[in-house]
Amino acid sequence: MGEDLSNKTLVFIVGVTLVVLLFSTAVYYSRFKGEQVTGAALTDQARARINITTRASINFTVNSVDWGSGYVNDTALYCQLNTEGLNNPANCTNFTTVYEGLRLENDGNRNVELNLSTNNSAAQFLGGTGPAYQWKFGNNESDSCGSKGIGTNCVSNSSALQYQSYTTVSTASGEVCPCFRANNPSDLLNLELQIRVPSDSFTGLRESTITAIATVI
Amino acid sequence: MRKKKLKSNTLVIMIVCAALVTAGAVLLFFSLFAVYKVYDVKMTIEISDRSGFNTNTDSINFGKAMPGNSNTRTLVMSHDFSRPLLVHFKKSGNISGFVTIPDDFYLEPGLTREVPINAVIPDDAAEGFYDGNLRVYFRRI
Repeated sequence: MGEDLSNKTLVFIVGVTLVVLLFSTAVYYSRFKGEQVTGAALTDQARARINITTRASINFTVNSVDWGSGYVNDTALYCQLNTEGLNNPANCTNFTTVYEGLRLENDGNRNVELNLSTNNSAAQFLGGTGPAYQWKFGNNESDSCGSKGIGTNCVSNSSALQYQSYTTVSTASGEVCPCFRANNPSDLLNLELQIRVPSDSFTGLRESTITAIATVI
Repeated sequence: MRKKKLKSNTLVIMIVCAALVTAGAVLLFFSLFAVYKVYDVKMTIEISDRSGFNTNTDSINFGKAMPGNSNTRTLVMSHDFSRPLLVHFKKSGNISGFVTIPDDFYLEPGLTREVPINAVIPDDAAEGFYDGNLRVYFRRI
């Protein structure tokens, strides 16, 4: 009799344990399956909200456009290098000749306004007497940059893209392209860089960061 | 002898049951009272020979990045629970080695906070497509 009662109690305890475990597991999974954030969910009535902004930014380090290490020849005042193959051996020694700059693509499906800045000026980046740090933009795929049209549309305009010849970089964020298209095959820009390294420039590893910010229009 | 063995088994079963009930109770407490809301946000990035934006808002799409670059997307967070909530982040997937997530922070009700999520690509990263998940917990405190 005593053993019989013990078994019944045991079965009851095991049953209650299973019910508690099943219930708590079900509650756990229902609570933590994780609500997916979607574009449409941004305006839902959830009392805790997450919104992904329509802004994206990219930081390039200029040493990724790698001219390597070298020096200015004794007879030269400076060495000028760019990402279009400029590397004059009469002035520059041991630097790597770079034939391609940075390419920047609008990978999404919305047209954006593009702003760029650098974290340092020529004097801060290179130092010395008469340094230069310049950029130049171009359409890698034709008509990638246009003017703002009606609504979110872009309008073809070959002069909409700023700095189409080498211009001193800016440490303040400035508009480079008012309407950077998202539609392939017109969504790719070139960014070329040019530096003038004075003979009395800073030595050692020099780095500059270019920040590109895209904001949906 | 048989009775003694049965008692020993009963004791083991009782201990296991007690442990499982405790675990279930902790799980239940955590589910119902510790966490207020959970979101899963998909994250993707393509490491490539060029850089690219993706401003879509249905996921944290970092677009394209070259080795050495860092790409940033921003989350805007808020809630209207009656008290501050602790926001906690957890990342997963093969993208997680590149993504830096913010430290936990307290978010007051009615306030909005912008939270940058960075993908920092090392110089030796292999080209390819990487993805994963960012889990965001709003925890009661």
